[in-house]
Amino acid sequence: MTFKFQYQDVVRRPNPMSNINPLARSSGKQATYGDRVEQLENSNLWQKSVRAHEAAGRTFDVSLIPQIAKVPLGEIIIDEDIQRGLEVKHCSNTIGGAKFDPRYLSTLICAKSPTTGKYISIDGQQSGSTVASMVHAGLFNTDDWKTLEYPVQYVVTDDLSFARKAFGIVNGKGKLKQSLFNELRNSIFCIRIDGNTEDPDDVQALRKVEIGEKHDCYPVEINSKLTKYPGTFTHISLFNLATEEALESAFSWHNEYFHMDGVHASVFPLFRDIIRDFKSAKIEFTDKLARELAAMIQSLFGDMTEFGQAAMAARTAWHNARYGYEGNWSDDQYAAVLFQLYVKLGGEENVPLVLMDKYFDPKSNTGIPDFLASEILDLAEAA
Amino acid sequence: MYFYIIKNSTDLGFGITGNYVNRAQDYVSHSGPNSGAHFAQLWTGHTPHVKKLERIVKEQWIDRTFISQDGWKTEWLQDNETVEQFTTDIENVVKERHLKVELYRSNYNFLLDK
Repeated sequence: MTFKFQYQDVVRRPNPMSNINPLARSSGKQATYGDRVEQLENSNLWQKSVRAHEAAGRTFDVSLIPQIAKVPLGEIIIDEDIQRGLEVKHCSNTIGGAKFDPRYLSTLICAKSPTTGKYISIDGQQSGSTVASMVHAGLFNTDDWKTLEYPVQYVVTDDLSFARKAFGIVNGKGKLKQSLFNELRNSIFCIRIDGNTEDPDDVQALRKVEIGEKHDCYPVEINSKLTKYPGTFTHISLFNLATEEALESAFSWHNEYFHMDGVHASVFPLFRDIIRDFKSAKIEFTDKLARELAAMIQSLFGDMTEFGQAAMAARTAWHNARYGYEGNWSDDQYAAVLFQLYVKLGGEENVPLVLMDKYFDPKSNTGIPDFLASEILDLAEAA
Repeated sequence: MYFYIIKNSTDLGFGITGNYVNRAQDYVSHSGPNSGAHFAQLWTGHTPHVKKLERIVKEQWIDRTFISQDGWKTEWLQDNETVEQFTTDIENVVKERHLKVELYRSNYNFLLDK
């Protein structure tokens, strides 16, 4: 019997992303601080901050900007009330591990006492400890770690509360963290631009990115102007967690049926569950099933974004009805809603039973699709 | 659910609502009875499809909308947009994407309809 929904083709237009993919090549762009000053000056938000300083009569002394020096490691004190303890595993595996290169080391951040002249480390002790211990072990071409002059960035103060605050700042508070997209781009450019394939994590990241590119799907930065283009996605953490097999299926399916849209976050957990549960149950995820699911989503929801939102709302409603409270966020409802709805609406392809049992109450014979919005269920029944 | 094109004496915008009468009244309340605020076009349809239509405009056609220098995104269109062109493009995208959305009425004016 023919499934009640038929996928209707959507005109495929050339995707500009194939030419402007930010992971394909270096942008070749460089900027000066003059460019950045101009950019900030043109911002109302920036001007508001400047006006607030002016109104308060605040100006700043350039001599208070952190200074740099090379200080013998033996002269630096680690204040254990400010810095956390020594991370032996971090020093052994990360900084001093197999991939160690002295050029990866960071400078130490210190407070320099104006009265005693002593340097108190407020950040970077893991790097300092690793270097000192490597010198001690004879792994560096110098004999005495105590006299090794190490680069230090410091501020002059006896105020340890300031040092505590500075520690919070250098460890992330008030500082923009590297985005997951930037980390991914670094991995990809290490190979594509620098030709360095030594890091297996970079190699794996590239393989995943290439799976996406093969199917016209592209990771981009959150809030990037590129998110308006089809095939783009910003949920890099889900991409990183996905297996290559799941990505291959997810991107291929997206590009076949939803090539006109961005890749919605729900696609990643959905295909994680499809790959895992169909494989475990030794059931083939057929092309016919893939097309019928796409047809059902297209007709009832319009796209994966609307499906994802409807599935989340259904999970909340189901949880409330079954347990009396919303419950914690989970991403396993997408597959449950999709496949239970498919079977409920007469889909005949084989579906693993484990997907039918999730979010299903046999006593009342109700499952998660029963909690979709009535407008969706009415349209489904009427089709 | 409804998707509308809002037009006043100076600007053109868009949005979605479950109650177009109340929404039209809101526009008139905010901009005044002489602002000429009215719905130049009003489409209706299946809620997820109407929401998708709005998302296409807000995301894929973002270059056609007014964005402030600080990146504040609005549901108002750039000055060179016209009701005629925007209507044609909406109709085309509804057809291309097979959305269950259809034109409901044109030139709905809350003040004149009361």
